[in-house]
Amino acid sequence: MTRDHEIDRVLRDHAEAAEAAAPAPSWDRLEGRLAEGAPLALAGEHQRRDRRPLLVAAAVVLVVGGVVGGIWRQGDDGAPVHTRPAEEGTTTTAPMPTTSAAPTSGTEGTTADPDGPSTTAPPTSADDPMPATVLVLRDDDGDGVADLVRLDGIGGPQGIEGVTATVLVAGMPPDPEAPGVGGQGPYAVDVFDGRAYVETCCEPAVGQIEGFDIASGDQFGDGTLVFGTRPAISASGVLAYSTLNEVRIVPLVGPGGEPMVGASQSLGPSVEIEGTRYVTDLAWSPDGRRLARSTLDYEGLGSSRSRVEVFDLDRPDDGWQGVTADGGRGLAHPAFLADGRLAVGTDPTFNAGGITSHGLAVVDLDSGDLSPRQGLLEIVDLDATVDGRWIIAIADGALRAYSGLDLEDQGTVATSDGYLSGAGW
Amino acid sequence: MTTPTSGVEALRRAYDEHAPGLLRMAVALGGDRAGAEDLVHDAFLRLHRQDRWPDDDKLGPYLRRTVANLAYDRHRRATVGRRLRPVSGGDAPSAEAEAEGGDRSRRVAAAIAALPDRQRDCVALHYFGGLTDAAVAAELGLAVGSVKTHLHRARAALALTLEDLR
Repeated sequence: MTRDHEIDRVLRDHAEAAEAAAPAPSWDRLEGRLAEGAPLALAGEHQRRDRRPLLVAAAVVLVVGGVVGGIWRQGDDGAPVHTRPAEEGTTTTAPMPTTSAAPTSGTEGTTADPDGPSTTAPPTSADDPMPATVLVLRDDDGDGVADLVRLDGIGGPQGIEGVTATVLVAGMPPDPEAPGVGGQGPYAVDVFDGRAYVETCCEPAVGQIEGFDIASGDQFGDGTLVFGTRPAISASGVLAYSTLNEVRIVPLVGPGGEPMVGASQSLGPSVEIEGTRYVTDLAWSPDGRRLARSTLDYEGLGSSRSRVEVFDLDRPDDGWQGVTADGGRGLAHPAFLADGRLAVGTDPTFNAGGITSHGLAVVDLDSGDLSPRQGLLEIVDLDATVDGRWIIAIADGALRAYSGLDLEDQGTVATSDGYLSGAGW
Repeated sequence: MTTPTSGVEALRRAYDEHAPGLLRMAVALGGDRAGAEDLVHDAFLRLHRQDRWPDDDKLGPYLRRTVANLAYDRHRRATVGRRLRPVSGGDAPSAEAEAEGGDRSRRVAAAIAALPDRQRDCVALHYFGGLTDAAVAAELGLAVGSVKTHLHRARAALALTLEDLR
């Protein structure tokens, strides 16, 4: 269990103990003090005591006024913020992943098959249009803090000029720790059934994944859904994430419609990542039966200690199989193509901005051979559509799209003047 | 803001609604139940002495804030008292006794009280007030992202202070 989890547990235990120890409210005793005109038992400084309730009340009035109006307001830290009550919600059911050979249904990731898996991933076609909407983590309001932004009109006839941006959630927290220790999140986002799952903090030590409704920007669930990094969601709604030393999977919704994020299972041995190695990214195959991960040795700081591996849910005894880029070009940010091959960013390095790569290639998982397609790009993230038909890359401070059939460059689809990380179709 | 039609009646209604949750919070922040009721009663007495009360939907935040501040005040006074008062054999427990004795609740409460203000407030409201991140943000007038950052920093600080409790 990570340190953050342990302290979270200590605090929750303390809260439970307080609940058990709390005395029953004694109105009679308070009434007695009222009747006697008793002084306050714990008198503090007069000025502070008198002033604080007014300040609190005034602050609360300002806050409530903003919320009731449903308008953007300034928080006291200067960042514009849009707050609405978190809402509970359910999605259609998703099947529990099994180790049998039953394939899962393949969808575009916007709706789930309520009847469970029955078909393989739908065949893709060269005529399939690029999805017009993608989510990114980008500083759109210029306050230096990343926002969760919905970009519409991607790949349209007007190019970049036709792209519109909507800030769904402003002020996603940057990682407070120093660069090189905790990076500068938020880091990653993936989409399923109209909801965005965002890793907001705090690589590489621990992550927090939170959920937001794409249409409204409302957060759902009670704050952090899971403590983990690099959320990746399969076509059938199985969430994969890393907890530094292992990869876990969990269906987002159980058979009865209940949220399942608290009941994850470890994928493979419980302690898979030895030493200082940690997961840098995760990606599902279009059929939702294979999960790819890239890892990097934290102390290595070089391409020679990175690895890309795949776990086959239908062959769990095989564990993680893949290639290590020892002495060669490093690998990071896997993304499955439509035909099941694996694209990766190459030559990853670790710096203050996180993991970056410097090329895009297809990797042969048996031989380790790379078939470079695009070079000289500083890639910080790759994401494929659920069916692998399209790839989006955050590279050189912009969003670039690639065909998932042949990695043909489709050009820049959006740009950023500042922070840009984490794209999800 | 509204003026209660009957001071004590309104106070009783507010007490019935808010006191149980406030008592839990006071125990958590104070580390013991003995002074928790005093803290909560002081908060209601302060409310009662006001000419104008917060609106009903702001009453909870007002009371939570008051209870929390009273708890922090008590910690500060206890800390100063220990510094100024010479420790005798039968007086304050030794550091070893406290550490060994596992007065866990008081240690956790003291560690929280020692956090920077914003971190402390976020921890108190989220863990002991039972508020979601969004509700904490609304109550403190912060961005939700800032609340998450404060909570993360608080946990990191507490991890060092409470190393042996993990």
